[in-house]
Order: sequence, then C-alpha cells, then structure tokens
Amino acid sequence: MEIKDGPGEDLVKEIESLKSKCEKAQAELKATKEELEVQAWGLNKTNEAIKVLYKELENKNRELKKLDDMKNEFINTVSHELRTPLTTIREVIAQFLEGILGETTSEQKEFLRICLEDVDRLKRLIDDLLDTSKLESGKFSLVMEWVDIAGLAKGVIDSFSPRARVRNLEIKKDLPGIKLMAYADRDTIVRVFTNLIANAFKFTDTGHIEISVADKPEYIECFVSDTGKGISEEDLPKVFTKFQQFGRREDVKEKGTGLGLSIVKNIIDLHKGKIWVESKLNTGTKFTFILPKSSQG
Amino acid sequence: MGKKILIVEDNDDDLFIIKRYLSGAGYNEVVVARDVKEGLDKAEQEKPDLVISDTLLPDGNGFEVCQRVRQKHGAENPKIIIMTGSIDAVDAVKARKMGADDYCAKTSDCGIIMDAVKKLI
Repeated sequence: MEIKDGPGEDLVKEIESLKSKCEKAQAELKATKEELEVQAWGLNKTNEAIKVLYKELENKNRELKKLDDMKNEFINTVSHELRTPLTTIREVIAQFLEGILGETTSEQKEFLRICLEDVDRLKRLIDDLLDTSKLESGKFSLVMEWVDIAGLAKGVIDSFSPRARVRNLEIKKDLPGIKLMAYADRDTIVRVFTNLIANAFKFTDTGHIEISVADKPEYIECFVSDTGKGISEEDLPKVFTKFQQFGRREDVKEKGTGLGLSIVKNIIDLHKGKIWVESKLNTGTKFTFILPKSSQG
Repeated sequence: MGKKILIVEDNDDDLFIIKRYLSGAGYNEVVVARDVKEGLDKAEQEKPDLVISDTLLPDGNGFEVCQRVRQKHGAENPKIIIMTGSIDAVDAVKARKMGADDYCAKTSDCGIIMDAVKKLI
C-alpha cells in the first residue's frame, strides 16, 4: 500500500533526515576520534623523543665537563713544569745584565735585555694560563679580608704614572678622599685594576685614561675608561672570552695573552660582583665593575 | 632478510652510526640520500621497503620527504620512520599527519631507531 500525502510521508522524510544527520555526526565523531588518536600518538612520541634527547644532551655535557677538567689538569701540570726552569733562566740573564757574572759589551747587553723581555712575556703567559685553569676548575682560593678599594686603586694608578708620562697620556682619577672598604681578596683586585688599566694603555694613543671608584649603598662601583680605538659592536660580546684579541697592534711592545679580561671577569664573578663593557669604535672603551661591600650579600 | 632501507641523512657521523647498527642487525641492503631531492629520486628508483629520514635536511625537511613519498607511492609502502636529533625540531604529530609510521629520537646507540625498524619490516 502506498501512502500518499498525509502524516505518514512526513514521518518517513523526518526519519531519513534524522538518519542522514546521524550518519554525518557519526562520520564527524570518527574523524575527531582519529584526529585525537593522531594527537595522542604524536604527543606521546614527542614526549618520548624529548626525554631521550634531553638525557643524551646531559650525557654529552658530562663528557665535555670531564674533558674540560682533564684540559685544566694538563695546563696546570705543564705550566708548573715550565715555570721552574724559566725562573732559573731569568735569574741567570738578570745576573749577566747586572754584571755579577762578568763583563758584557753593550751589544751583548742589548741581546740580553731582549731575552729578559721575552722570558718575562713567557712568564706572564704561563701565569695567566695557570690562573685561568685554576679559576675554571674552582681551585682558585681567595684570601678575603677588609680592603680599602680606593687606596688599592690609587696604588695601582701610581704605578702606571711613569708609563703615562712616556706615552704622553693623561691619567684622570676620581677617587673619594675617604677609605672605601669591601670584603675582598686584595691581590686579585689589584690584578683587576692592573689588567684593565694596562689594557687601556695598550689601545690608547692620544687623550686620557680615567679611573673612578665610587661609593654606592650596597656596593662599590669602579670604572676604567679610555679614549682609545674602541671595540667594534660585533666583537663586544666576545670581550671576556678566553684567547680573544681584538685590534692587534704590531707596534705594541707588550703583547697580550688574550687571557687578561677573562681572568678579570672570573675574579669579579668569584667576588659575586658584576662587570660590563661599553665601547665605540675610535671613541673609547669603558669597563665598569661593581663589588659588593660584603660578598655574603 | 632481503629488506631494502633508504636513509635520508646529511650528517656523516649520524649516517655512519645508523648504517653500522643496521648492518649489525642484518640489514645489509642500505641506500643513502643526502637531501630531500635525492631522497625522493632514490625512493622512486630503488623501491625501498623502509625509508628512514632525518627531520632537518639541507634543502627541506623529513616531513616533506614523508608527504611526497606517500603522495606518490600510497599510504602503505614503503614504511617511513622520521628521526630527529634536535629537541627544537621535535614534532611527532606533524610526522604522523604526513604519513610516517614511526617517529624517534636519534641517540648514540640507535636503540630506539633499531626497535622501530624491527617492528616495521
């Protein structure tokens, strides 16, 4: 029997429409389920891969650290072995120069002076290497005491006065008239000032070198600036990295080791201080560092 | 075993290690491609049973290799494993969507990759 018109036909249409909606919903559900499965699988695998790669990185790091320790140990041993004979050689040359071991002609003296200069350079290089390896392996021990940083800076600056006269450079100093005490290791802070000022001399032909020590509530702020050739923006981030030498100059007598600023940074870090550099090519460079008054803070 | 494997990898060290582990497990028929283009050419010529592709390649990435191999050769064969050695590039969801059968991290002992290979072929 065929139903024409009337409520029966509407019902069939309704059922068919519902069926089609249901099928569509089912298909959507299936797609969503598949998508969820892909997501779940992917996230699981991603998680697994990250975990494995992280562990792999950790292992590599550990290996690198071990190699670095071995390198430091090696440098330490070799430096010690090199230093001992060097001291003997230096002593003998010095005694010849002073005439203790007999007469020498002026030409011989000139050669001996060159030898002495080179021996001293070698000694500086070995000392720097030794310090770097100690600083890096954490074996550098500071002798902490209350130190007058302003007085200490003045001492270092005075030792550079003859050099400033010879080079016709002005040393400006901005030091407070009073003692500025900080709990620090005297010898290493002297080293920081010496390295920074020596560096300023090395790269400044005209103008001045300025050293300032200022009192701040929690710390002492110092800077060494110059009107020298400056460091390019590109080289600036590498300034405190080992064996970096910028703007090498053939005419500079005292050649660097490329370790001076790395040592300075390590010393400041050990004091829980901070150091940074600002520079502009052909205008000058300014190294600023802060030292906490008490490193406990 | 007689299964042929195509490795798409540009890093010499990684390639050397994977090849060694594969041959250690008895997979001696190994073909190598160094970038996406060579990978697709070799997939066509050599008809490998399995493609193992690195994620980062000089002229593209492993997802591309996967997608184009699937477009050309269908959803089933060859089997495809995408591998990665860089945490930044980890994306297994994308690999799956491009049709990869498995996704794993490159490690120095190739353990995870070897497990995946054995499961697939």
